[in-house]
Amino acid sequence: MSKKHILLIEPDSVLARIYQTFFEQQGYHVTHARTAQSAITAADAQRPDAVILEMQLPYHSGAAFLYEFRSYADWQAIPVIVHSSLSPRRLAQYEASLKDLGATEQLYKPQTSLQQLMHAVLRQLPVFV
Amino acid sequence: MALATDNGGNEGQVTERETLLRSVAEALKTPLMYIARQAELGRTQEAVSLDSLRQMQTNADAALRLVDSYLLGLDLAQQNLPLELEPVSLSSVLYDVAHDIEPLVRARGAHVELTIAGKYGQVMAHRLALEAALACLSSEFAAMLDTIEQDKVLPRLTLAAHRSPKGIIAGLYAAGTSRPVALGAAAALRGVAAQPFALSAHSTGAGIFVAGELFAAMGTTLRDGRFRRQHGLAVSLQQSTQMRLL
Repeated sequence: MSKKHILLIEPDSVLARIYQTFFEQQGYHVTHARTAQSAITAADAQRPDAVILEMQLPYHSGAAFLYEFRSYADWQAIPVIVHSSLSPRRLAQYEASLKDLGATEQLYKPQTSLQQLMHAVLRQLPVFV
Repeated sequence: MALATDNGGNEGQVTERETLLRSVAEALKTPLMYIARQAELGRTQEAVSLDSLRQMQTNADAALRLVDSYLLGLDLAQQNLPLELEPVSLSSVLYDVAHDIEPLVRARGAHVELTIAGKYGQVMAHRLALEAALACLSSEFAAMLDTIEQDKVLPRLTLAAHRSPKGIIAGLYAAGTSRPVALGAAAALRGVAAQPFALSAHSTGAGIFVAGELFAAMGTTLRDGRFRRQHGLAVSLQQSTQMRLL
C-alpha cells in the first residue's frame, strides 16, 4: 500500500520542517511548497491526497491558490484543510468563500497542536502504510 | 492602561502606540509557535535532538529581544531613559548583531554576511538602541529569507556599513529579491493589513516598526536602501568628531 500524500503549503520554513517531520513520522508522504505558484506546480507533479493550506502566502494569497486549485477538475474532490495564522476574526471574513471553494476545515494555527492537525487530516483520509 | 494617561490628550499618539503594541503582540506568536510545536514534536520522538533544543533557544531569544526592544523604545519615547548619544563603534555593533542573529538566519538555510566598506571612526548613537534596532531588523529580514527562491540565488542577509555624503549608512540587505521591503507602503498598511510587508507572509513586520521607533528616538530615519545590488533598509548616522579633537 502506498503512503497518502499531503501537500503542505506553508511559507515559514521553520514551521514547515516541524509539520513535515511530524506527518512523515505518522506515515504520510509530505511535499512542502512555500508559495501558491510552487504549490500548483507540486500538485501537478504529484497529485496530493490532501492539502494543508496557510492563507497568508507571499505573492498570492491562500484564497487565490484555492480558487486556482479548484479550477482543475481532477483536484476538485481533494480535501483542503485551511491551517492559518490569520486571526479568527479575519478568517471569518473568508468563511463563506472558503466553504464555496471546498475548504473542508478551518483551523487557527497558533492554537492548533500537531495532534489536532493530525486529527483533522485523519478525518479526511486514513493512513495507508 | 498607562498609555491612556501619558498622552496629554493626544489621542492620535495613543493609537499609534497601541497599533505598535498590537503588532508586537502578533509578532510574538511566531516564535512561541515554533517553541510549542518543536516541544510537541520532541515529545513524539525517543530523544529530543540537540538541534531542536538549539532552535527552541534561538526562537525564545528572538522573542525576548523583540519584547525588550519594544520596551526600550517606549522608555526612550517616554524619557524614562536619558537619550544621550555617544561615540559608538559601528563595526563592533554590526559584528555583535551578526553573531546574535546567525542562528536565526542559518535555520532558514541562509547565511549572514558582514561588510564594512572603508575606514571611518565612530558614529554618534545610543548604543543599546542601535543594537536593539539592528537586531529587530535582522530578525524580520531572516523571516523574509523564506520567500526568496533558493534555486535562483544563495540566500544571504547582509549587514553593511558604508560612507555616503549623508553620513555613515548602516543597513540590512537581502540578496535575491528586489525591494523586499517597501517601507512607505508598509507603514501605510500598518494596523490595517495582516501582512504589511508583502514578502513577509508570516509576520506583521513588528521588528521593523520597533526598529523605526528606536532610530527615530536617535534622531534618524529608517529608509529603503540599496547596497551592491541588494535591497533593504538603512539609516544614516553622523560620524563622531571627538577623535579629531585629540
